[in-house]
Amino acid sequence: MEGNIAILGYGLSAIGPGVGIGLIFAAYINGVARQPEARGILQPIAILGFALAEALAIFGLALAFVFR
Amino acid sequence: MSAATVGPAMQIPQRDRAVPGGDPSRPDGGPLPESVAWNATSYLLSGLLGLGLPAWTLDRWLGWGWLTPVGLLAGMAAALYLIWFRYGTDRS
Amino acid sequence: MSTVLAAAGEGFTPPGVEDFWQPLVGDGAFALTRPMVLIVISTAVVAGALLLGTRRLSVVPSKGQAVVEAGYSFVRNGIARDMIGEKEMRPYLPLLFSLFTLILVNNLFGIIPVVQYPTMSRVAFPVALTLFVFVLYLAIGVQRKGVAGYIKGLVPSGLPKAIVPLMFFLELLTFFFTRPVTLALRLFGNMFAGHMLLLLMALGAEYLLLDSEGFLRVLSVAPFVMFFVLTGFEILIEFLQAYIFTMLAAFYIAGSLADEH
Repeated sequence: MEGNIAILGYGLSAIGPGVGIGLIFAAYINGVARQPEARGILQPIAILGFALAEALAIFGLALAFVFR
Repeated sequence: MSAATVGPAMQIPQRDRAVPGGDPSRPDGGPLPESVAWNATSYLLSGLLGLGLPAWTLDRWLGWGWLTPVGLLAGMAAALYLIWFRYGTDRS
Repeated sequence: MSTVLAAAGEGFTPPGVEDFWQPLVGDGAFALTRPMVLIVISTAVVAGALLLGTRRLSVVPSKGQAVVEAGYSFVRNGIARDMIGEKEMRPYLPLLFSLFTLILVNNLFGIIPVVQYPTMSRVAFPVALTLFVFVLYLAIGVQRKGVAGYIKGLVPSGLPKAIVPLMFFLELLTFFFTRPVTLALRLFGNMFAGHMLLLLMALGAEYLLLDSEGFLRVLSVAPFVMFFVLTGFEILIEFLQAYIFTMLAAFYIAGSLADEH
């Protein structure tokens, strides 16, 4: 087998954010389903949480290129 | 309780337009959260590219070795700030 | 999975990018390739289905009309109305509907037997669609606000003065580079990787069944079952990607239409 171990690192670094983003949007959908009028309050919080979790995955992508 | 009083309460309310940073002039639905989330991803990527790539280039050129992580972190911080400002605060 | 990996050591050649290069006539840069034929077929299929479905319109719809109407109302109510808004969406509905149907049919080609090639797994096709959307949302923004107004409107108002240049740089990069690139690469990547996975499972099952001996032949059941599971999964992805592409196109158009920020 040939390839670059950095790509494997990106794969590993995407696991955590993947689970985290799933949890964030699960909670968001739950909240909006129970209380549709709370959507305006929940959406920014969900987006911010998503951005923070996604930032880690994108760090992984950048580092896979930097430490090639 | 008569059916008339139950009726309106049973209706699923229209999607609330009071999204901070949203457009209050549109009474019908707002941008779906998926699209805003994908847009946030675009911002994060351009934050990393916009500051990380120049920092990496300078690093290769000058041979300092510490500029790339600094550039990546600064780019990510700037992008997160922009996302927070755009979608996370109430500016209406 | 582990069976495939073990087999990889002894002569199993995993599928690669070169499996997606399938010229039918000629070779090199001017070859007539399989996706080129497929996108022509898909255009004919979409146009034919829509013409047939709407030929004799009636209040009580026939089966074909009902399907076309369901698809149209999904794009109209599920995407355009939520994203652009009731007032402004009308001029953009034909574009969004064509984008959705074209991408959906081309994606579904990936699992239809005999055809079995998702056109969007060649990067040029999503790039072409994205260029169209990109030019459109730039043109709308410039038409609405003028060049100076559009450039100024990129930065949200109310930012502290000191970081406006940095944020302007980021917004510029996002609008002119990251957005179109991610829009194209998301569709391409999903279709390419999904089809590659199916290919890997099919080739792995074939290799284990035909080219190995003894107990390993029995193990070929595993990638074979996985092939069917992933095919079902792939149908879901294909619908989802068509939806996401259309939704983001509508979102970008809506962003150019909005008066402020």
